[in-house]
Formats: sequence, C-alpha cells, structure tokens
Amino acid sequence: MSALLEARDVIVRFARMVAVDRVSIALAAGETLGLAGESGSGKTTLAKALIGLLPYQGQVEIEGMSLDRLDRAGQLRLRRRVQLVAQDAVSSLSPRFTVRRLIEEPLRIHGLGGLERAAAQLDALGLGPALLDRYPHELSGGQAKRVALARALILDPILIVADEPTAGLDVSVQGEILNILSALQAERGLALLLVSHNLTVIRRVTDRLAILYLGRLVETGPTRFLFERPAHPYTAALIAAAPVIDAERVHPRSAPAGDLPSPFHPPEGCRFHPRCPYAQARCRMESPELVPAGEGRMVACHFPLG
Amino acid sequence: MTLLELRDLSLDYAGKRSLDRLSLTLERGRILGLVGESGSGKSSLALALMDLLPGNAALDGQILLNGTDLRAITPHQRAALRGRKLAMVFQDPMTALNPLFPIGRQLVDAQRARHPEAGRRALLDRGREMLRRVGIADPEARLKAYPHELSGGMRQRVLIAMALLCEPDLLIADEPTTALDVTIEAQIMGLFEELRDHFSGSILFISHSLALVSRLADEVAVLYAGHLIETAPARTLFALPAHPYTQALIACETGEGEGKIVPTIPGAVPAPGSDLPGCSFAPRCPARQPLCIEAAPPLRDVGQGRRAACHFA
Amino acid sequence: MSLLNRLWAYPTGRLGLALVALVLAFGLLGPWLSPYDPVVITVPDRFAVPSWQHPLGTDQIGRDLATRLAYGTRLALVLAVIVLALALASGVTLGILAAFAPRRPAQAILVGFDMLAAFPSVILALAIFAALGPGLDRLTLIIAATMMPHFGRVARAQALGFRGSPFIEAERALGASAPRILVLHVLPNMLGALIVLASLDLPVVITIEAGLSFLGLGVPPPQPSLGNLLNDGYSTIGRTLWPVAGAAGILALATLGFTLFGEALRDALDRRSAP
Repeated sequence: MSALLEARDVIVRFARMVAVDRVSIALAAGETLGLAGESGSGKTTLAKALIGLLPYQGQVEIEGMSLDRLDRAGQLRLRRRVQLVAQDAVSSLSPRFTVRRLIEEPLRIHGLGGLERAAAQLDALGLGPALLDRYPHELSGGQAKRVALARALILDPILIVADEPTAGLDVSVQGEILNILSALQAERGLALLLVSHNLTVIRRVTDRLAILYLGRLVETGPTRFLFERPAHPYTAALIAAAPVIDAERVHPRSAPAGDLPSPFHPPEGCRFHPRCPYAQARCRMESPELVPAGEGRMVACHFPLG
Repeated sequence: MTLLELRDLSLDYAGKRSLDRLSLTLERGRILGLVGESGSGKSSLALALMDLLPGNAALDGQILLNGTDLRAITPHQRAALRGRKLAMVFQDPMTALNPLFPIGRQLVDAQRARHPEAGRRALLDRGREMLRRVGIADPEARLKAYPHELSGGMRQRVLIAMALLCEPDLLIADEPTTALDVTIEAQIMGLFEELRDHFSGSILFISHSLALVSRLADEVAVLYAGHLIETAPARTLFALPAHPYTQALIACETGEGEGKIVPTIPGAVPAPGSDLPGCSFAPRCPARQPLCIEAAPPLRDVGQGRRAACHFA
Repeated sequence: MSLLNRLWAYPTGRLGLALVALVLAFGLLGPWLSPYDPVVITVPDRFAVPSWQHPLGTDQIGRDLATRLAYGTRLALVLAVIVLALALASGVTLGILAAFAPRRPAQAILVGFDMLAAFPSVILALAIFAALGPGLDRLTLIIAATMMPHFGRVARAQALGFRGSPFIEAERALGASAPRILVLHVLPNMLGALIVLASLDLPVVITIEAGLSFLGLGVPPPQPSLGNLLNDGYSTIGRTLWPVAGAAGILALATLGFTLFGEALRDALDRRSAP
C-alpha cells in the first residue's frame, strides 16, 4: 500500500498555543480516513495543514512530493489534485458569484477549458440547471454543500478533504452528501479525508479512523475495530457519549466527567488523564507515545483497554 | 392532569404558514419530546408559548396553560407568566447569559419574578444550592464568575439552574445541547434524565434528534413542515412508528443501509407557504398514493396510543 | 430584485433618490439650458427681482442668479466626484495594502492615515494656500488627501474581515493567486460599503469647498461657486435674500439628498435587512 498522503510529526502552532502536536498519519489512494475529535482537538487545523493551507513544522508528502518544496507550478498542481470542501458551505462560496461562475472558477484559475461542463457537474450531483444563475445566499445548506462539492470535483482531484460534511444539515439529507462521496470514491478511486465530530457519520463511511484529543493523536486504526474494541479510554468515552435511539433505555449512555480543557493550557502527562476513569499516577506525569496495538492499530495510552 | 393544551394553533409569518392547526396536550410532570427538522416550526412553537414571537408573526388558535387561554389574557399578565409558570433554556449558551454581570447576580435576578419579597442573600443561597444540583463543582466560586469565564457546558448548566430556580410549571428546552461537544452533550442529557426524578413540572424538550428524545421523553410529537404528523408514547413511537416520515427519520438516524449507502429521504421540506392540498410529506413519501396528493390526512387514532396524520397508517 | 427597486422600497431612499436627481439635473442641465453667461456683468439689470427672465433675480452686478447657482452646483459636483474618486482609489489601495502587508509597512500606512486625518482640511488648505497660493487643483488634492484615510481605514477593516473568511480560504485552496483573490473576491465585496461611504461624504466635500470659497480661498471669483455666491449674497443681504437662500438651499438639498440616498443604499446593499 503506497501512501497518497504521508505526514510525520506535524506540529501546527498558533500565536500562543500548539494546535496540533506531533501527529503522524497516512492515507492510501482510494481510502477514506476519518479525523474525529471534539472542539479544540485540532482536527480541522490538522486537515488544513496536511494540504498546505496552514504553515506547519514536520514532514508532509502528497504523491511523494514534500509540500514545503513545491515551486509555483507544483503548488498549482497540488491545488488541482487536492480539494477542500469547507464546513460552512454557504459562506465558502464567494457571495457575488453565481453558481455557474463559482463552478467555472476552478477551471479558470487553472487555465483549463471546458467551462460548459459546469452544468453537467451540477447535474451529476442532483441539482438542476435552474440553480446556475442563483447566488450563494439563495441556496439551502444542502444545495450549497453540493455546489462546493461540484467546484471540487470539476478539477478531477485524487483527494478530497471534507470538513464536517454533514454539519448544519438535517438528518434526512445528510445521507445524500455521504452517498455522493461514497459513490465518487467507488467510481473514481478518490481518497477522502473526512473531518467530523459526528461518530455516527464516521462509522458509516470511513475505512480508517484517527481520534484526536487536544492536538494529539490518541488512537488510529480500522474504523470497525475501533468501534468494536476501543483501546483508548477517550475513544471508548466518545463512542459511549454518541447519541443513539434507545427508547427502552437499555444502553448505558455515559459521559466522561469534567470539561474539555482549554487547548491553551493542556494538562501535563496524558492530556486525557483529568477526565479518564482509569487514570493512574503515571498518566499524570508521563505523556504516552503512540504505539502499535495489533490489528493495524496504534494507541497512545499507558493502560490501554483490553 | 393536563398542564398544557394547544388547540388548533396556527402560526403565519408574513402570510406564510409556519404551524398548521396544531393540537397537542402535555400532562403535568411529564416530558414531551418535540422532534422536527429545520422548517418544521418547532422553535416557532417554543417562542409562541413564551410569547416571544417577532412582530410579523400572526397566531391563531388556543394555548391553554392550566386551563387558562394564554391568548385571551392581557400582555401584562402574559409577561408575568415568564419566570414563574414558564421558563426556557435556549440553544446557544454562549449568548443567553448577560456578559456584563456575574453568574450570582443573574441567578438572583432570574428568581425575582418568583420571589419578589425574598432577600438577596436568600436568593443567592438558593442559587448556590441549585448550581450544586445541576452538577457545577465549586458553586461558591462560580457565583462570582462572569459568563466568559465558564465553558459552554457549564454555561448551559447555569441556564438550566436559572430555569429551575423559577420553579416553573413548564420548562421549555429548545435544542439545549446542539451547540455543545458530544461528551458535554451526554453530560447535559444526563442532567435532564436526572431532572425526571427531581423536577415536579413538565418539560417540553425540543430537538432535531430522535436519539436524544428517545432516552428522555415520555411522549414524542413529530413535526413536519408545520404539521403535527405523529404523537405517541416514546416506546411505542420507536418500536412501531406509524407515519412514513417517522419511519424514514428513524432509519436515517440509525443509518442501517447497505454497505456504505446511507438511508436518506429524497427531496426537501416544502418551502413555507407552499400550501400543498395534500399531505405535506407526500412529495417525499416512499408509500405515496394518489389520495395523498389530493387530500390532507387528519391526525387520527391509529391504535396503541398513537395518533398519526397519514391516510395509510 | 434590482438594487434600484430595493432602494425605492425605502421611503427615505425614494426621497434621497429624488433629491439627488433634482440636484444633479440642476447642476448638469442648468448651465446647458441657461441663455445667460455666469460671469458677464450687466449693470442695468442689477438686483432684479425674480421674474420669468430671471427666475431667482440677479445679483449686485446684474448676473442671472439661477445661472450662477447652476454653474456653482456643477462645479461643486464635479469637484466632489473627482475628490472622492481620488480619495477612494488611493484609500482602497493603501487600505488593502495595510491589511495584507507585513506588520511594519502596514503600521507605517496606518500612522500615515492618522497623521493626514489629524489635519482639519480647512486648516490644511489655509496653510498650503498661504505657502503656495490658492488654486482649484491644489484644493482638490488637499480635500482628497484629508478624506483618503477615512476610506483607507474602512477598506482595511473590510479587507481584514475578508482575510480569514471561508470563501477567501476556499479560493486559496483552489489555487487562486493573491491578485486574483483581491480583484475578484475582496474588492467587489467591499465596494458596496465604500460607495455608501462616498455618498455620505459627498455633501462633506461640497461643504468644504463652499466654506473655503466663502473665505476666498477656494474658487477664485468671478467664477461662480456655492461659496462665492454665499459670500456675495452675505455682503448684499440688506438688498436681497435670494443669493444666500439659493446657495444655502442647494447645499441643504444636496446634503439631505446624498445622506438619505447613502443610508438607504447601505440598507439596500445589506441583504439581511428588509425595509
């Protein structure tokens, strides 16, 4: 398995905080990787750094090319091959452009022809030509998401980073976006980096999963195994906290105690220890390294769950 | 005994129908879960109950609280109900507290309507005790804190404490966990589940999530495009949903599809004011018949305590 | 709905639009329609009362007042438009630079703005005219320079707001170059606010010009300008009220019109607010 994207020891700093702390991660061609975590976990920051939209320290290679050694032509090529679909779709569309112009714009930026493909691209995502002359503020959340997706797809990318693709959408239409992404992946062999706090979504569509807590990777591995046998107490807590329909009230839904610490002052040692039900003295002093835990998993915990 | 009864409640915004002849009852001491997606009118209903609708809203029908029609009393009497009989917990805990005053003062002010004669000390003591009850550690220190010094989860706990301090007959919670992280949401939902045993009033819990409502509510009402399309005891609703929309929504949330294909409901909610002659869900309904497009189904008894607005339920 | 329709939906917008149209028509068509020369002296006709020949009468040396007023209005409008165009162009350029440049040059620009804005334009004009002598070109540049920081600061604030906005990031992620983003996405989105500002500032420019001319430091007589008319009228106010009333009336109408128009335009451009 050759990695399409490979990142080693990526650190992203903002003025007074370390938003992403030494994260290593890889993504194979055609694979769907989920990045999960709560606010302050650095998941969106990491995703943006991985495609060169934020300055970082460490190593990131896409198709074997190191991101920080790209010339202008290499940059442009990268921007064509790797696409971001932003979380807030409506405000990610330039407000004075029509939908048609918005979908043409990526082609114009890269000096490519075939502007007439805009309508077909929209149609392929289930939106009619009537939408072409609308402005972003006239679109519903779901429509805007699909326009943003059309802009990404028209450049024929190999990797799409989808930041919270279902956020702000009703449950009944969330599936449409997810199904479009899955279908594209099957047809085009697209790799997908899916950033989400919604574990239900992650569970349905990702092959592998990386869980972040306060800027650090706590567990990675095949999604199925992580849900069946979480090794890190935080992974377990996240799964237990996710809401599921349970009118008989048989499943214990539990929540880890305490608040999310501020990323400006992360706890010493293991960052999860103040909320961890299994924390011991060692967890308070020593930060656990990410180590292999079988079944293709890695976990950063001194006392992983059996 | 019935605490709240809505009779043929309709709401129009600038001539566009947002709630259509809603009839619903809530018993004393019970929790009603009101579920709907965007455009269902669920938040408008909460605002209508609190008398907080904007000026371009036109209400029709009756809202009976303890048998009194809230629409027949004077605005002054109506306003006096807020903070005494009715209290509300809003969606966004970041903006629902006044940033200029410490928590303690806001807790005292929240009780003023209820206890006009009580001294500040006494109200502060009650506030401290309530903070402890809603799970805030070190309440003494929090009383002096300003809202921006508290996390989102803690602010929502403060807002719930504020609402409970009013000892309302009806507590309205409008998507109280939507703005929170999932582990914090689970904590707040745990708090609501505890309230079931400690709070004597009724709760109207409004949410877009069937999952949240399923664990909490005694009764569930499902709204779609301003229409009440199903009500049932919670267990029955999730075990035997009668309306195709409820069925589809449950499928969407549990997400059991084939492989990576996720269940969805094709189409979109009809735009407000589109005034379909038939069932509002008909355009998206998998079990649609010609009748559904022609005639709107009334809400009717379909057995086992369920009422559903579907010709074929 | 087109912008004009939206503007028309506001009662103040309607009034503003009507007044602006009135002032524009008077200033632009008046000089062209009038049979009189604004500067030629016709002593026998001095201090004529309003009549069909002279709708507003004549001044102390027999020049048709309405004609002079129209020429004065045209001059004020042309001057204001040139001043605002200069101030807008330089302000927007420097403002965007201040938003996107590295810290040091950006701060230098801001300090420059503060220094320019600290001078009241009238005092600055007095000082420069004292040193170099008066002139219309100088006047234009001085007013433009003192107005520029106003636009510059707004442009900078707008550009800063856009810098981190999702649609700019989306364009960056698509590979758009910085000039492309500035021209296609930043500039068009800040233009609305700046045009509103210009409309609200237009009466200010007209008033400054009138004030300086009134003091004899603006447009040199006998050329008609609103300030010169006021000055002439002030000295003959014992004989006739018409010169003062006419010039003051135009100033009042222009101020009211452009201010109402600007405010309605601001509301009409803001898609969130409805009339």
